Amino acid sequence: MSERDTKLKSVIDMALSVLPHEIGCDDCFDYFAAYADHLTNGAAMPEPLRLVGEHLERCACCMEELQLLLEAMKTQNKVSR
Amino acid sequence: MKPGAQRGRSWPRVFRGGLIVRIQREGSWQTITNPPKYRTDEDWVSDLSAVGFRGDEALTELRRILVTGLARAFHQFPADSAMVQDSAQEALLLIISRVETYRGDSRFVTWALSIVTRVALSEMRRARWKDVSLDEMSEAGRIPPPASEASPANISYERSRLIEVVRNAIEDNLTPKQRDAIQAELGGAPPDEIAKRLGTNRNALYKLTYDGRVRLKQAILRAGWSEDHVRSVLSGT
Repeated sequence: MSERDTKLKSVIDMALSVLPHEIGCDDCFDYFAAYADHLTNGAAMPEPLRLVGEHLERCACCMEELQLLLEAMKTQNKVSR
Repeated sequence: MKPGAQRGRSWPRVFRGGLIVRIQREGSWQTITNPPKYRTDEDWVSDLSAVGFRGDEALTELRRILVTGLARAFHQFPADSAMVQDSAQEALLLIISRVETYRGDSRFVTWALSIVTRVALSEMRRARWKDVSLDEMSEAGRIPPPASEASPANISYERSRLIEVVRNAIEDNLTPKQRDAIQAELGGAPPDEIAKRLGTNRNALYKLTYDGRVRLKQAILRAGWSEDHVRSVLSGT
């Protein structure tokens, strides 16, 4: 795909994926840690966290932050008892 | 079966020099002597708010967690050790100042790691984009016309029309700020840096681009293109 086609697809995705109610990056960040915990635990997402998921599908920068957070969380050990 | 169980012994074990525990790290078990104190989320808030040894000990442990997490998260980036240390320190100050705002809807350590990864990533993006102006960011995201040096000569008529519709929608329907913000994003610029150059913050930038996206969608539909038609032309690359 040429650079122009990549931009064309990106801008069309941006336009056509618009939802009536979306949250912004800061609102997303407020629930970021809870979202990451739910994701790693495999727990069902309550409503505010579903909005975080929708934002992440539309914001590459927040998605990059989430990937890095999930990687950082892998350093947290499980202590056996 | 837990490690140690096969030998009829349980973990953790106490010995003269302290405590030995077994930890699972990336699928394998390792032995650690005198591990850090286990803290609940409430312990973290209370210990970090304490003065004296208790507070210092919690700060030291949290700093270790932040540095270890950052080093792992950024291992594929050319991040130097100083960036990791500086970001951990900056995040630590933020966490201390905001500890009372921790709501408890996540693990405390996850909350702290979310702050340090944002601090480090923002710093990395700032360094990478510090010499790039808004005009340059915006220019990098401009979509070239169908007949240009950058485009192959054999693109379909439908695709050429779609390119023109989108280019016109961007030129005619967006405010200059919306156009700059959306094109800068298309050019790969991070929102923190676009927001700074527009004299706004990341949330307000999101609102600005949201309104722009709505206008673009309306303009594309007004030009007679259905969503399905746009998708089918796009997928014919």
